[in-house]
Amino acid sequence: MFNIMKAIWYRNLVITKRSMPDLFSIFFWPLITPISMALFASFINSREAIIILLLGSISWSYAYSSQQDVSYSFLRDMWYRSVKKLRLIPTSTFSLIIGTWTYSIFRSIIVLLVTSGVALIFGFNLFSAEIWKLALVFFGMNLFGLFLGMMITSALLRFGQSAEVLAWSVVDALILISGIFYPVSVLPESIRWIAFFSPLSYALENLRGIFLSGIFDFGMLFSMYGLLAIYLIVGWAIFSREEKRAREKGFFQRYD
Amino acid sequence: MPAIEIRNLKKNFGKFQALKGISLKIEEGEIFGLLGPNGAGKTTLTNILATLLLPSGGSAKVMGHDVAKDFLEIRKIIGYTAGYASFIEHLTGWENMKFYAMAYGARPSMELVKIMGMEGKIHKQVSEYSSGMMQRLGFIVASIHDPKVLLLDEPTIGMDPNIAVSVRSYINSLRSKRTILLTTHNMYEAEDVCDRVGIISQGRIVALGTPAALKKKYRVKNLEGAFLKMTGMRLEV
Repeated sequence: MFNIMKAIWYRNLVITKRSMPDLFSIFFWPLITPISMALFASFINSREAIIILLLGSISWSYAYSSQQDVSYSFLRDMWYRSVKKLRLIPTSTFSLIIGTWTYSIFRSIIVLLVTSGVALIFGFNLFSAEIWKLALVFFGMNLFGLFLGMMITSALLRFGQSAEVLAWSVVDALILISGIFYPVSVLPESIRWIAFFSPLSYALENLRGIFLSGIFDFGMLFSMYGLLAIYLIVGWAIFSREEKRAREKGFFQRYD
Repeated sequence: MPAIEIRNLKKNFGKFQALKGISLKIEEGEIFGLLGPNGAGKTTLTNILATLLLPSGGSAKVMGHDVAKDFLEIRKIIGYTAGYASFIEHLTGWENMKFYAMAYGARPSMELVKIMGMEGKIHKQVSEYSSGMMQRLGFIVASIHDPKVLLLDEPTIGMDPNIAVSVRSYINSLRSKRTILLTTHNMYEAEDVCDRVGIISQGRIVALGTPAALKKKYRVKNLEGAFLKMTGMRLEV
């Protein structure tokens, strides 16, 4: 397991260093939303709005990065037709997924540092909260990223490259219904129920609680991790089934 | 124990029968050539042996390990390269090799780089490589962990003739040290390096033997003649 993890980290670090889109995905794109939201909040001159909008945009960038490497890693091997060689490595699929996921944690932490740096410029210090509380909430987002990455990779295994659009759209769609800049209660009733099944809703609500009312809601934390436990079990079962199906149908044969 | 043992192997893709009950034994240290036209089932067979594809029926074992059940064990002892290799373009050839070496728990090998005539190019980004160079890198990566069994699916296609000669000479140097299953369209290559060959057509092995025995049996001057007699078609080179 450690061989493949080491190898994935090595490869992803070199790619990140050399690829302009990758560098932009860490140091440029995550800044757009926090900066524009902070400027908007400054314009309407509301301290509370600054906190809500910056927390929302920091979380958005973090959640996006959390799933990015898990699904992008597989997608990249599809683009370069090297899926087959990767699958010949004597390692379990679980190790492959964990390898890419640990790199995604590293990437999302860098994104968090960059976006929280921007927040500091606008007078909001994310790290003024207790670190363990932040760590519990953000790690939940990493676990949700793992689940989404497995689901997107499953879709890629089943539908091929036509499913690649999911890699950059699913988080954005989910975050909108998870109360990104607003409480879930403002969502139209017809879609509000979906938010109760999104671990991101609980993460966002808890972050706002920490900074606006000083309350860290353990009930919400348990709900988030409870949902995550179910999703990860279901996600792994779906992913394993798709992996087996890919070996039956000759999917890997087509990508070399 | 044979290095590769295949019994009544079948593979269906929907209604299409790609393999219709192949049985074959390849002994340890043997270089076995699999010849056949496009769509005959060569790649399907090598992919099943490489554990990338599950069989629909029958069984296949590599060094005693079942391809359907013991795929991690098999992946440790096989090396595989296919006709048109492809690598992550952001990395150099050396970095790609290092990635696979790390994943296999091996070390990058300058010796293999030299054998493949890649000394001057290995530190260039793969985006600058020709298809022949990609192919050579594929060969290096397939051999990086010193595998007991090499599955080579048209390893010299797209290579310059002088490089192809050195690759064949390398394959010859592995005789009796490695078990090699080689698929090729190149009859000269098959005669030059293979201890035995099998001709596959429409999912069935239609001829099997040493190149000399096949030529004698079908009263032809070369393997292409035997191939034509058995399949009634010319190889696309």
